[in-house]
Amino acid sequence: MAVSTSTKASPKSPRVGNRVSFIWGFSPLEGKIVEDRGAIGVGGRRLYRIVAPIEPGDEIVLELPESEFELKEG
Amino acid sequence: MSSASFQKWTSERAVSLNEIENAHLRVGGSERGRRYATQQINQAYVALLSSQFQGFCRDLHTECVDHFTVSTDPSSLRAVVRANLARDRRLDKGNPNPGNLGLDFNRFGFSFWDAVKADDKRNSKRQASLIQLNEWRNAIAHQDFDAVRLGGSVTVRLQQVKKWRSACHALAYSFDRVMYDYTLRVAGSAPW
Repeated sequence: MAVSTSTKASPKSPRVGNRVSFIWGFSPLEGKIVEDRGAIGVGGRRLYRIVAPIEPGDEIVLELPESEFELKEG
Repeated sequence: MSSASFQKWTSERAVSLNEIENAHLRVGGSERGRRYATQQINQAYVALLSSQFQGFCRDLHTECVDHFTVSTDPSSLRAVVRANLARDRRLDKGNPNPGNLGLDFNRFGFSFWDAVKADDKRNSKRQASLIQLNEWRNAIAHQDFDAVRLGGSVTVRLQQVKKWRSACHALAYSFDRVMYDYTLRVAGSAPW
């Protein structure tokens, strides 16, 4: 009997430590997820706390839903 | 309907606080030994109450930031609005004392404590209880007990912690209602 070896890839869920990219003003900015804040966003959506350096010595910290950032490879 | 943050306060966070309150009842042993053990539990209860209340307030702030920004137009500015509403947020690391709460929630564009006090006239006394709770929390965290600063005693009783917990609960209810009303007025839609 043939056994199927194909598996459906599940979409990657954001996790603490993941590198992400989001729009800051009109430009993309890269940061890192430092905390999963849980399902406390609009309509119960999950929010993630992200730290992103803007320039040496200055960084921004914000909490975004998954719909407002992209996971970066690596 | 209440915020997700308030729902968590009355469920998960309440369970955690109930567990430590119940631990107090289970302590047995000799008179002197029991007094020492219950004092340790009471102090742990104070620390846990302060941290759970801080967690609720921080969650509520985050929840409101999301509601404020969801309708920001153009969408390219949403991240900017988010970052500035929560910039250097005191509740991320600091205690949930009235000063820190005011600084963080005033960012939304109003006087938070004026609104909280207008919501319920008993909130002024509850604000005073919150100050006391935080004084005790700091004394425990730093092991620095000054009877003058701590209301005349360096021993905290379970009854007192329960009163602080009751004040925190009433404030949480008011915070939830105040932020619901304000967010509805500003953002134009019910946040929860």
